This record gives sequence, C-alpha cells and structure tokens, in this order.
Amino acid sequence: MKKYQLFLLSVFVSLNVSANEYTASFFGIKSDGITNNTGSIQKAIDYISEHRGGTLVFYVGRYLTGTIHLKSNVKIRLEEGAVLVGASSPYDYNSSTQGARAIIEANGQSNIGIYGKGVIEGSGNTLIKNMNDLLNAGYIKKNSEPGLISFTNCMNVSLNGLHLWNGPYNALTLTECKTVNLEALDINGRNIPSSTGIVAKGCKWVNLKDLFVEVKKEPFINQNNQFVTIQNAITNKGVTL
Amino acid sequence: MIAKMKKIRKLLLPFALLFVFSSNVFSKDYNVLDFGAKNDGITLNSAIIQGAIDYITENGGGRLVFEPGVYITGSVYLKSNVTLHLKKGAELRSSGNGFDFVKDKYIGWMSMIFALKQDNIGITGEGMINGMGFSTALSMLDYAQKGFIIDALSYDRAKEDNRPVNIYFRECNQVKITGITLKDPANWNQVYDQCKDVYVDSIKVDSKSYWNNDGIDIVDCDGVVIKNSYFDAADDIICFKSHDATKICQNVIVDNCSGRSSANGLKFGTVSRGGFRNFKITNLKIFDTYRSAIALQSVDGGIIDNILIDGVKSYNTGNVIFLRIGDRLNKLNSGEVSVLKNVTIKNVYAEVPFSKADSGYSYEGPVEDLPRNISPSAIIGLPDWRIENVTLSNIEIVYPGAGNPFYAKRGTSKEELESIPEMPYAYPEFSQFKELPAWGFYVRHADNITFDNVVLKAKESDYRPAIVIDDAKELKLQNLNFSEPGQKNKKQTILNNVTQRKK
Repeated sequence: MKKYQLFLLSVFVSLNVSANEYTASFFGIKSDGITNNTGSIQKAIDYISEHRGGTLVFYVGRYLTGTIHLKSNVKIRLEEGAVLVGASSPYDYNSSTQGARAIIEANGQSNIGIYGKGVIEGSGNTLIKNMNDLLNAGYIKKNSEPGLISFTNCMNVSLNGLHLWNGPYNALTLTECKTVNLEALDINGRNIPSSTGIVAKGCKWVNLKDLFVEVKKEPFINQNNQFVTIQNAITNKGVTL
Repeated sequence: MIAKMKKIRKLLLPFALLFVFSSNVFSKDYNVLDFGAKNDGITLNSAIIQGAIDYITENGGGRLVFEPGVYITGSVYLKSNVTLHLKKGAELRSSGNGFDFVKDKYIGWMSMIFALKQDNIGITGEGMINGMGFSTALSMLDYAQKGFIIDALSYDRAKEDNRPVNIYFRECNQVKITGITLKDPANWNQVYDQCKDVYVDSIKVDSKSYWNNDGIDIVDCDGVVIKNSYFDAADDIICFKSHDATKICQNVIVDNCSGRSSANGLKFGTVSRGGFRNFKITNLKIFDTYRSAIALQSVDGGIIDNILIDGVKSYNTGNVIFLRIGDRLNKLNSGEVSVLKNVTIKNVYAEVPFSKADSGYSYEGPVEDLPRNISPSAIIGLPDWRIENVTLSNIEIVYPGAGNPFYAKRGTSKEELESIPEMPYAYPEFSQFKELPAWGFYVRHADNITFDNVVLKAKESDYRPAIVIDDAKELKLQNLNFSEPGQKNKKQTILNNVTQRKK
C-alpha cells in the first residue's frame, strides 16, 4: 500500500513538472487531414524535450502522421475532436529504432504521456491491404503491422482519456516500462481481424483503470509484469481484463 | 596550348562514350505507384520513395519510374544503380515544409534528393523537380525566428545550410542527369560535390524563387560534361566551385548551353580553394544577365589553369569578361600562391546595355557599388599574384558608352591609375572597384596578355578611353579596332608601366 501511495505521488509530481504548453500550429503542424505532419510533430517534440519539457496540444482537427518518437518530459494533449491519424503506407513506420512499430513510439524516455478526449486512429484495414500488396510484390519483407502506441523501457508513463481506434495490430505495446498509469481509455478495433488491445511485457507498476476494450484478438496480454492493478477494465462483452 | 586542348579532348572522349553505353545497362523498371506512392499532390511520399530506392538498389538496380502527376516529398537518398526516371508531366514537388527535409550530417546541408558515396546513379526523363523554394525557405525562416532551429539569420533569411537544395550528390561516380527541369529550390539548385564522371544533358533550370538560386554547381569534380542545357536562375547559372584546398575541379566540357542570371553566367568561384583545370567551353549564349557573362575568379589560394572558352554570344548582359585573382583568406603572407593562367577566350560577340539587364525577373540582382559608369571587362590580378598568359581573340563588344565624369570619375594619370585600390580581401565582382578608367577593357597586374582582333564599340561618347592597361609585362596588342561617336582622334589605349612583346 505504501508503494502504491508513492506511485500516486510520483504521478502527481510529474504532471506538474511540465507547465509549458505549445499549440501544434505554432510548429506548422496542419489539421487538414491530408498534410503528413511527421517531420513537424517530431521537431516539436524534440524542441519541447530540449527546452525543459512541456505539453504539445492538438485542438480539433485531423492530424496525419507517420511514426513519431515521444521524448522525455513531453506530453501530448489531444483536445476533444482532435484526431491523430496514422499514415496508410507501411514505409511511414520505418523509423523505429527498437521495439514494436507504432504511430507514437518512445524508447528509454521518462515522464511521458498522452491525454485528453481526442483520438489516435490507425489506418487499420487500408494499411493492412497496402502491406499485403507490397509483400505480394516482394518489395517488403514480413514485418508486424504498426500499432498505435509502443513504449519500450520508459518510466513514468501515463495515458488518460483517449480513444485508441482502428489499430491494425496492437493498440498499445508496453515493453519493460516502469510506473505506467492507463486510465479512461477506449480501445476499439472492431472491424480489424488482427486488432489486439494492450500488450504489456516485463513491466513494473502498471495501473489499469476504467478501460473499455473491443478488439478481435486478445484484449490484454499480460506477460512477466510485476505489480499490475486493474480497476474497472472490461471488454465489450463485459469481461474483466 | 592548342595541342594541350587536343589532349584533353582525347582524355574526355572515353568517358563520354562510357555514358552512351551505360545508359542501356539498366533495363529493369519499377513504377513508384506500385510501392504505394500517390501522385495526387497531397500525399507525402518521402518514406515510400525511399523504400522503393532501397529495394531497387538491393535487387540489382534499375529505374524508379514516375508516371505523370505530382509527387509531394521531403528528403530522399538515391542509392547505387538506381535512376529516378521522371516521365513528362511527372513532378517531384517539395512539401514546402523545411521539417520534412534532412540536414545531412556529413554534408552539412539540406536537400530533396541526396546521394552520398553512391555509384551509377541518375535522374532522367522529361519531368520536373520542384523545390517550392519560396515556401520552404520561409518555413525555415519562421522556425528560426521561433527558435526551433538554430540559425544566426543574415539579411532576414535563413542561412544556406538551413535551406534545402533540389539535388546534392557527394562523392558519387557516374552520375547522369538528363532531360529534366529543375525548378525553384530554396537555395542552390543542384550540387555535384567531389563526384567523378558527371554527365548532364538537355536539362532545363527555372530557378528564381529565393536567394542563392544557382543553375548548377560543380564542386571539385573530375570529368564533367554539361551540354544542350538551358538555365534561367536568380544566381550564377553554370558555376564551378572548389571547396577543398586538396581537391580540384578538372576535365570539364561545357557545350551548347544558354541562359540568363541575376548574377553571373559562367562562373569559377567564388569559393576557389583547390582550383579549376582543363576546361573546354564552347557555344555559350548568355542574355539578360546582371553581372558577368564569364567570371573566372581565383580568390582563395587555388589555381585556374588551361581554360578554353570558344564561341560566346552575350546579349543584354551587364559585363562580359571578368578575370580576377584575390586573396580572401589572406594567404599571400603564408607563401601560398593563387594562380590564374593559360586562358584562351575567343570568338565572342557581346552587347552591354545601359539599363539594368535583369530588370523584371524575380530576385533581381542588388544594385550596388555605385556610383560608377558602365564597367569595362577586366583582367585584374594582385601585384604579387599575377594573372598570366591570357589570349583574347576575335572579340567584339558593343558598349553603351556615355560615361559621365560628373557622376563618377577615374582619370588615367599615373597617380590616378595607381591609386585604384587592390581590394585583395573583397568579394570578387566586376563592379567591386566602382568606377574604372576605361569603357571597354581594364587590365592590371597581368603578364603575357594578348589582344588579337578585338573590336570595341561605344554607342555614345564616353569620357574614358577604350582600354587601360596598368602594370603588365609582355603585353601584345594586335588588330585592335575602336569606334566611339565623334571621337575619331581620341587616344583609346592608355598603357602605364607596361612592356610589350613583339612576336
């Protein structure tokens, strides 16, 4: 119980560390749904991380992107109506250094988070079809479909309030992360045969609270984790994760 | 000299032939649309094009073919044995966002198409590469002003290393660029840097979107052919540079090219550390150009040696010939030598206007170095670094004349001539000395200079003589012909401290 209190305290502290807010448009990020913003979002994250951290805020609109790498002390806030849309070509997810491919990746970072009432939307079946076409032509080798979020070896991670939709593969992959707080997430991949929910491997102190998961494959893969707490986290069939 | 040139031609012939053969080696074509690229003018294709290039280079090489349409892109890296083939109507277009472009760590600059240490690469077809320079440059300026990128900013613009060029190939062998149109970069247009065997044929350059928009920059390359090409650029159009004091630009043929510029036409420099050797430039046509049609400048301790320029037509161009030795890096005192020697320029017809030659074009050249009357062509060395062995033959230049001493005056007395500043450290430009004492040709600190069959015409009377030569050994003047209205008996040639060669 003491450990749990300490954990809550650390989350509370980390939320208050980053006071600086930056709007997406400030970095030239476009909400038109057709401009691929990968380069601009990445520069924004790098800049905020290098300047004592802060929050990158996306207001209502569709923001197309390929893989972006979240960095220490940076949070992304998706306001209601803001949709971060994953690009539909697998080539847009080739910048992964380690760990599973995803729209938002982080590796070895701390104090990171994504929150708000917005949506992170994968290209689901379109991306799967594009991958299969390239595979059949022999242009690419077999590789896993990119997920929505993939954090590897990170500390103090929080995801709160988001809708994680239409992921072609794992909505959320957590590998060897410490102190992870997942709260009020709506994960939905109902039209995608390969959709999977949360995959956590080798993590410590993972808190799942108020989750709803509707996917075709496993809603929650829980492997070699320590100190996982689950409160009110259910599938579309009302089964606890 | 002529024998030497014949030797160069023999040297160049084998690799000219090599290109003819190598063009048929790549048979396998891949359609970029099959890799998922979209020619809709909306989708950012960088990652997809890169995926396709990587696949082709790993699978025996071939052409990546772009069907008609607009392909938005940021930076991509071309790899060995891959040719980008842009069909007529296909356009590779910059996203206009500087953040979609890479600053290569080795090169230190940004580009749309990079190649680094690759062999057998090319860009062919009749399609277009469009850098969207104005938007891309302004996006970088905006990012710099907000502090997202580090840039000291000068002249209210981002510096060159923060503005993408269209093509930057470095240390590549067998480069082939044919047929394409290169439009509107944010910086220089196409750079071939320390490459071997560069073949450029029938390209068009339309490059007037932002500052430093050159036509083509050849930096320290060995074995270059540029022919049948057209250049319309805000900055220097056919530009040879030497960035590395241990390297040299050499064995170059330029044939049947034409163009206009708000700077210079054919230019050696400005950065000229190693130098330039064995050039044959034929059938050059320059028009509507603000500065010089031909500017050969050795100003950073390098050499210029064995240059033949044969057949130049220059219309409505602010200056015709400017040869200059300078010492921008202050090397004179360290015992190094800048060299400019063995240059032949022949069969030139040129008309110099009274008005601004590039007026009305985007990014006009800056009005500077005033007051001065119309500047003469010039060959200007330094007292201890002399220009040597330059032959000018069959030259006709029509000048506006009308030099007015009440506007700017430089007399021809010994004192006045010797008071002209040397300006060794200055950026070299035909106008840098402001008023010069001749309306046709000015020569200083130069030996073994030959004028043979040179016709200089002034349309209006000028207070200055046609030719002034100061401090020259072994000068030879033959078959000079001057015309200036109402000045039949005027002494048109002024010599100061000159020795003349008989034969």
